[in-house]
Amino acid sequence: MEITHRLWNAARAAVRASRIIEGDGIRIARGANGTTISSSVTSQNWPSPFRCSLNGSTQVSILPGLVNGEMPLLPPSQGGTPTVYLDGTNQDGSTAQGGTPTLNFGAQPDLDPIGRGYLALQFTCDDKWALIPSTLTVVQCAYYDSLDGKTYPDGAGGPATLGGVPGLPGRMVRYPLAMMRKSSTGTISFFQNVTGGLNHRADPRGDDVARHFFWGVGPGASPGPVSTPTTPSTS
Amino acid sequence: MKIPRILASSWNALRREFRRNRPMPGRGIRLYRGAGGCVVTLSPSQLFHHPWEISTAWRPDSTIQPLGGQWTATLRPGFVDGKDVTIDIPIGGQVTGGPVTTVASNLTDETAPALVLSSWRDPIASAGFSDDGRGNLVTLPAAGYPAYFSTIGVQSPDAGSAALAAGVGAPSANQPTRYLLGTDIFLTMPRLASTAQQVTVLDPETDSQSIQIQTVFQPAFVGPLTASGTGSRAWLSATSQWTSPQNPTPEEALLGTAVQPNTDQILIATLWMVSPPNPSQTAAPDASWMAVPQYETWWNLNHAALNIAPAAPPDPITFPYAETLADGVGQNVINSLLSPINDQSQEISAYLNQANFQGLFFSI
Repeated sequence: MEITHRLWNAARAAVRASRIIEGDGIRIARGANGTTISSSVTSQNWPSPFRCSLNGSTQVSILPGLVNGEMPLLPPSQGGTPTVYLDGTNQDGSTAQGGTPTLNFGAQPDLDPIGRGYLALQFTCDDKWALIPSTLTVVQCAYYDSLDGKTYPDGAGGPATLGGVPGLPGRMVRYPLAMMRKSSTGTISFFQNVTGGLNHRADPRGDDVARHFFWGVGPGASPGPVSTPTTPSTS
Repeated sequence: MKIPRILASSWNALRREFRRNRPMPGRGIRLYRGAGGCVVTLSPSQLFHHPWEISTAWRPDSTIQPLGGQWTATLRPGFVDGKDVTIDIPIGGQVTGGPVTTVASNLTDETAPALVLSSWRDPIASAGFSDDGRGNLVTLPAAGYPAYFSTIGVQSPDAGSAALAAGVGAPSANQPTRYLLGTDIFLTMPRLASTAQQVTVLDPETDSQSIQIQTVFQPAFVGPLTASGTGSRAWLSATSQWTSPQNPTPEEALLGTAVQPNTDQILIATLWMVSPPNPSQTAAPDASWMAVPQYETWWNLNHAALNIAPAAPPDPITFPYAETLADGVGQNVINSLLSPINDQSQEISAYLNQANFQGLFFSI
């Protein structure tokens, strides 16, 4: 085939049109043998409700999240009874001293024999099996389904169950937010179980014990920033 | 006529420009080159991490011939009811010299357990043969694959001989040459129990019914044991083509032959393997192939089961005052007359009162 001016110019235009241009989050480096395309996007650490992050080596910070619309409490920075919400406010609405609370699990967290433990929601239900907000806290435990959280739950947690979370005596229940795993070198890693707000409902199996069910309600349950409605200017 | 002149310098400049524009993958980028263009995507490591995220690796093994190794998959830890999931791994054998045993290894273990991918389905080849009703043997169309793969140069699936006869799906000269194989990764959760209906044949003259339908409990399915000796709550497996456990049909429940499956399962992902152009073989992927996961499950799961225990079969209706009728023959006659009613009662009861421990997965 004869190469005409028109064909030649079309080929030049096609080569020019195939130039790679960098967009958001993309870096390019042109070389004689090609154009290397790289991403400047780092892995997304999505700030989901209840996301647990190691703070130092003995503390964990937990992003705010809701269970049936209620915010869990943590002990204040100096320890003691849980009185500070996960978003860093006190029960009276004032800002907690020391900012966002962290949970101190200490140098020797409760772990099972192979180094697994949990950060778990813990609460008690009322006479109608509804969550009592003042009892909603986050605890560290080796087993979320044993009464003391430290010993293997005899008679529970077997390989086959009816599902849900087995309740504990006294209408109490724990639900794991994240699993802690201690490595052979002693470092703690977190594996997130809950990535959104939660709903809870109990399926009573007697006066004292129930099967408990939790299901996600998605990012919509995240408290997020509260914006003040503004009045449009009329001037 | 004026003949256009292209200077060697112009030609070489265009070649250099063309070469400079050739895309090459850098950090966090994956390229899929095809005849129609080059697809640029972020590599999985750059995207949002989620439970069940799959990483694949080629594990060289000279004992596996002719491939020289096998593909394995590790998954980012996922949870069911807050418990970490396991993968069965063989231990012993070549490493320890002892017998090979299987243990369930947690996904959160320091050395992540890997699924060995060894069975593949072929979505491009014909699904088999059939009779067209006129005595002719015809090839069935292939199962096919997601449309994405046709954009990166995967061969078109076999259209089947009926379509070819109608002029559809005929191979063209410019047919892409990449091949595709698939395997499914799924999660299994044992049910608390499984049950089977059992039909006992009776004598209508003495028992007033010809069948009795009872429910028999079968032992719960025992999963693989973990290193600590406890049973695994839920585990991952790979198979060429996953199908959901089949629950009994209403007809089976009515006839008293229903057998409940002993596990619940959910598909996590399909792992597709894409060959380079013109692969030397298409039976199984070798090191030169590329893995592309297609996820079905993104989030951690909870599991809840129905807890419908079977009711005892109804007692048959009898007429106990006929013993003296016709020297006792009347009793047999009346029993036989009642038998169809009692049989229907048994069947309806078996249908309505069948045991069910089927579970449901839901995300959190």
